[in-house]
Amino acid sequence: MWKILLSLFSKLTQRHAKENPIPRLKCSRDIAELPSEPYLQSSLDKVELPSEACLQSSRDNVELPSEPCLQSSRDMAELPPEIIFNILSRVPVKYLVRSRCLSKQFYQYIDDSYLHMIYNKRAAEDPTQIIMISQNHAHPKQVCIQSLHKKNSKQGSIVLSLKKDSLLKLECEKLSRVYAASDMVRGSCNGWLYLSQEYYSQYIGFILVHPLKREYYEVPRVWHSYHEQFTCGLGFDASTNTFKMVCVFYKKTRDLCTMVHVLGTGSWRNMPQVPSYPIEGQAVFAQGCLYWLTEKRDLLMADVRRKIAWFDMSNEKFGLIDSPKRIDDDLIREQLVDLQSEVGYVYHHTFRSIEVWVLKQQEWVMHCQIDQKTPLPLRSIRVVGRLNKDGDILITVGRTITDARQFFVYKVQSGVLDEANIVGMRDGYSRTICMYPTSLNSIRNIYPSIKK
Amino acid sequence: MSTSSSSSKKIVLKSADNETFEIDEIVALESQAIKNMIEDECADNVIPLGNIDSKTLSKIIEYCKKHAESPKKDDNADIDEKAVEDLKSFDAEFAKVDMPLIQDILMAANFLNIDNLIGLMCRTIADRIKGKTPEEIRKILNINKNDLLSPEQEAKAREENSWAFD
Repeated sequence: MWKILLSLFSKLTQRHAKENPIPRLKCSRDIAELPSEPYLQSSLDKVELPSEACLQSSRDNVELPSEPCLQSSRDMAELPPEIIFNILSRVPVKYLVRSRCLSKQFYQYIDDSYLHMIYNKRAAEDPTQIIMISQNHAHPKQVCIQSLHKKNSKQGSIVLSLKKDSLLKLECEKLSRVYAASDMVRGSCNGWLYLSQEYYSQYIGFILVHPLKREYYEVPRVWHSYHEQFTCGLGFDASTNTFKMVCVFYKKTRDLCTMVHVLGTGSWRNMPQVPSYPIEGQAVFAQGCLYWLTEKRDLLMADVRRKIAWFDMSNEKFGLIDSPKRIDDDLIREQLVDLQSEVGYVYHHTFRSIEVWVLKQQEWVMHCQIDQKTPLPLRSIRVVGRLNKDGDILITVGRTITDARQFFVYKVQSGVLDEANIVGMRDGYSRTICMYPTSLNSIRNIYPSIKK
Repeated sequence: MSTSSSSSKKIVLKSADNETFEIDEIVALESQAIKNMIEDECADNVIPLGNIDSKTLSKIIEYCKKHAESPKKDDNADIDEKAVEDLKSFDAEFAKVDMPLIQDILMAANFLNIDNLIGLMCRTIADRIKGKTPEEIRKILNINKNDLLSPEQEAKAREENSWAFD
């Protein structure tokens, strides 16, 4: 038995040695499975080692140049794939995408789904980008998208500075009714922001913009009469690699109607399924589903919890879940929020506190409770999203709920609420804020037909 | 945690070019692989590292020494911020080496299973790629010329993600 194991193992190490000049010592799990003494022998003595190459490199670099030599003498391809993935997962999306054209091997590495998995995991740990969508009152048809950078000043306060160059400028010429930018923005999904526009109260159009890729996509218009209300959402169906736009219309009579548009096709289709309750507000896309608040009913009954409707992007079915069981029984306003690919639920208790909950494996978990006290004003507070891996929360306050004038950061670990200083923002603009997580999904070319 | 206490156990590492390095056991324990060997009692007094040359090995020992001396995060809740800063600047200084050595360290750290060091080296390479053109990246990484995409394929790859080349 021992012999068999040993010979198997030495074969393994020999094969490994051919593939990689320096094999990795096995981790503890592997060692535990193997007899310990022979392991040391075989892993260290039997492997053929590229000693010549190593010596060569040490001879060449006896003295370190003051400026590090930037060129590698070895081919990167010699490194084991897990190391290459480790390196690539730390490169910003832009340079990662550039690296696709480096070589055949890199082309494959960068399209590898394993890289996407670890990259998206790491990206979720990094600070999320904040973008601002603004509109000059003097030119209301021009919508400008810029990014906000978060810094810490030397005194420890938080500074949000607006980048001067806009990521994207949009001209909304076809608008009949000019909205404030804050009302046009309906949400975001995998790098795409979507804005709605109404045409003479008979059609609704949507435009999708990708600030990073500077791309723009117009969804075919959908007819609706002005006395109908509508709620929409954009989601990604990983089973078919398609984006789908979902729109639910309802009349005063409470008749609901669902329409779906698959991006890249020319039309909308009517769907037989409708949500059990009318839905409202901005959609949140998380884990393959779109989520909306349902309409507020039975307001006076304190023990009736509001439902949240979801729509599964792949099987196109609606469902309902309960909202979290709130702690405080004060007067409330509720809000759904995207907490970096997780659904958040916010209770705004006027005069008391803000409760932020997060949906984890079908269960609501309390994320934080923020006391309603100075410097936080009482009105028009919006929880915008999660800033970083610590789970810190960005809050805006404005003239309306979506409007952003003041910015606050709540640090979950210390429980401290700070107002952020804003640099570079001008007056005379209506503006709203979005969190903009960049994932590798957001830069994959799913719709090559989409052009600027 | 003194490094030169006479009571602490010593480990001897032997490089490919037969140079020996005597280090405290605590320093060697930074390597998960050596730690496993010691725990499994399969390490003799001298551990031969026949695939790591002395130059690389001395760099790795320098790193492990520093990290073994620094207080670990889980030692106590309020770690000395100065120590954290100190370790950070050590890492930054440590990474200022040329690409061949980075790759040698990376291969050796992977072999010895020193997670922090693998992370540091990968981050260093990633940082050197940032802000570079594909041609520059190719030079930095010394991409094999035989593995290049055909001109058509490359043009297509660039076209597909033209935004990344602004």
